[in-house]
Amino acid sequence: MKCRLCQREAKEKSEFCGRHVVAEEMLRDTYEKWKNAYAVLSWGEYLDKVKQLKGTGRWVKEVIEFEKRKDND
Amino acid sequence: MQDDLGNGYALIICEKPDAARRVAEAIGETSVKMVRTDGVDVFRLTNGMGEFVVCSALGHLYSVSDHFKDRGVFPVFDLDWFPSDLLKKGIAGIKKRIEVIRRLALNARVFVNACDFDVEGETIGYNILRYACGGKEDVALRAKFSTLTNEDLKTAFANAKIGLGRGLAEAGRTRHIVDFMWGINLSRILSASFNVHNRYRTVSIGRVQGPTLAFVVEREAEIRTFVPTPYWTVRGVFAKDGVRIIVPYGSRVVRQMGVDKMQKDCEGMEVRVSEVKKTHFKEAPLPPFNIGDLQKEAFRLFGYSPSRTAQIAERLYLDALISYPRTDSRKIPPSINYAGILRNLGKLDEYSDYVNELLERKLVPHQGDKDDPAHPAIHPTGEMLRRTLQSWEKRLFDLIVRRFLANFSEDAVFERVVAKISVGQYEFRLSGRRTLRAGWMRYYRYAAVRDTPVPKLDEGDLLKVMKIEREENFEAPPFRFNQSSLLEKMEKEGIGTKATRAEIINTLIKRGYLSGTSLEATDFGFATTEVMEAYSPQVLSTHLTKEMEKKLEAVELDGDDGKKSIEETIDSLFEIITAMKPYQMEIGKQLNESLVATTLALNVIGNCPVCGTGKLKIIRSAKTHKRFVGCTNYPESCRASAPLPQRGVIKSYSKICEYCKWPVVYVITRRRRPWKLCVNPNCESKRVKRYEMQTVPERS
Repeated sequence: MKCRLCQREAKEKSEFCGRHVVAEEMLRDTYEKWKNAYAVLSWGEYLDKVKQLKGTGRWVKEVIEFEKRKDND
Repeated sequence: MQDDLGNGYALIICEKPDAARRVAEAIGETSVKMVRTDGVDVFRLTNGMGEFVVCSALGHLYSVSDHFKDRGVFPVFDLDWFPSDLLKKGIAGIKKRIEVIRRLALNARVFVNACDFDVEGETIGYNILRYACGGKEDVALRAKFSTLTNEDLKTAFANAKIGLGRGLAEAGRTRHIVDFMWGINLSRILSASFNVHNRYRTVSIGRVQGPTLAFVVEREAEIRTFVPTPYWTVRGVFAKDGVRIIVPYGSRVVRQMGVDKMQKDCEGMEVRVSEVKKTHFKEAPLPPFNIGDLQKEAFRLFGYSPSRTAQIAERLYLDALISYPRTDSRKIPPSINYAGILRNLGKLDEYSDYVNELLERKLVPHQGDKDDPAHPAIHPTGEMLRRTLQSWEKRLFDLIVRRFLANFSEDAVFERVVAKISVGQYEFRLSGRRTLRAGWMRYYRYAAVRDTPVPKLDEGDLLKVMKIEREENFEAPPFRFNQSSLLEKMEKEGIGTKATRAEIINTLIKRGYLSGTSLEATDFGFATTEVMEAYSPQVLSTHLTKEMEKKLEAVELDGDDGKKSIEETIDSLFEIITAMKPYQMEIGKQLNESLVATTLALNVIGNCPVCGTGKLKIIRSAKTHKRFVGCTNYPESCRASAPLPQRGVIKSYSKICEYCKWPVVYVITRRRRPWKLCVNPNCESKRVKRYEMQTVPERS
């Protein structure tokens, strides 16, 4: 199976390749820190905020776009 | 030519023509005669010790290669030394030079190797003595010098010895063979895998290239998977007798509610300054430059790439203005005539005042930690300028001179003031520093630091908290390597040598693995590391190359023939090639796909505003060879295209035009300031400009 974001070989039991799997893990792990920082923050708000930041990694932004598309569908 | 020269002369072999001229001028007591044969300059001279002929190489006259003409053969382990002109096109004059040296060697009585005293210089000299002079490497004398000044050269030739530097030559020759084996075999299998798909490109990787590329790729992956986390910086605005004093809170706050509470708790409170501490501290002069430090400092201050700095330093050395630059040493030994050098530097207006001050003191330089048995730290020689230096040479020379002067100066002394203000459980800290004595920083102005004064506060002063200010921030991703920090990382990890590190970084850029000033790994760089990670991870690890460096160091010190290192290399490579061969098809596919992505990424200037899904990229017409912008969806669903200026470099600006939403590019041409251009030929902004130009009022 191919990665849904970059057409590289996907990891076993994942829709992403190794690079995007790591990006997704980082995104999920960091959500806890953000919730702790702002006390109340939904997953959607979190994604919107992270996507806008200059320092957010390119692969993370690709995962966010994918997540947002999935939500819209 | 040998008839002209007669019999029984001493043949001196230098590394470069400029060095040969310097050597001839230094040791010739009568006038030096230059003879040009087949376009090669040779110097003839006599002194009390007899007749001398000085000739020079032009870098490496001999290089390692395999015996096969077919570049698709691998693995290759049967290597030999060949004249460099046979191996690389575009090296002019090597054949003639070797022939001239060969003829000169026929009637020479004594041979002297006067190439630079380091691994590369020793290898150059050894190969010439062995192959061009007919096996004179064991009987030749070795002249060792660290500057090209007359005094140093005379001493070096008076003390020339047989066998000096033999270990260096063996280590150098072994290094060349080992590196060639790694480079050629891995590059050939990668290139062959690439070519399986009918595309041709040199894909290279090597013993030092591999780990260096891995550093950048690893860092790039960290950046691309980075998610910033929020934090707040807090400042307290205090008032003392009507004067506002802003004091930062000691640490970052990671919870928004924490800041809210702090504001609530502190605002309006009256507090006293709990502590004011003043301490004095000293900063010793920075140690003298070794090549790595010089490269880093020139990059920091002037933006010179490490390889450029090495080139400029080499030029200054050949002009006898500085000592030999390829050194690891941060020490200037007492054998160097400090006072003599300083007195000569004092003849230059810009340094005379400093030199006069220093000559009144006892001259004890501040030494660094590293030592290099071959050469001292880089220092000026005190030799007078014989030509006007170019601006870039002047800057580097000034840097080296000032660092040298600073080394004889006294420590700089500063006062640090730290005031603590406790507001309940929160501690605010104000700190600053003031220069009490500039010391060496006066000489080395490049290290000067600005004072950060603090308002006058005493313990027990009463302050009112007017306001608590906050700023929301986000953690920044790790920095990308630049050429200087990558060089530092290589140094720290102990891979490569002082002579090769800068060149390896250049090769990685040339091969398309890295791009930009802050080095970003390209998709091609990622793919190459992924392939190596999958099939031969040891090539990417620093372990293998560090171990090899240790063995080569042992060869240098013990002077053995390096056979063991070569045999180990053959064993490792054989294993790797055998493991990779069955997967050539997959490796080629992976590399091909990534190269397409890399090329596309380099040429893409932005999104296509016409179709909304394609990317606009720079294309060169096969018919007219002119460049233009076209959409990646052409011809299926989009026909957007636009002309481009045909001269200069075009770079993506990563912004879109505010009028028409087409991408904007940077056009960089010679002798003109770079300019921004919206690529849309029908952009409204251009019409506005034309209208403005037409309606410019005439000058009265």
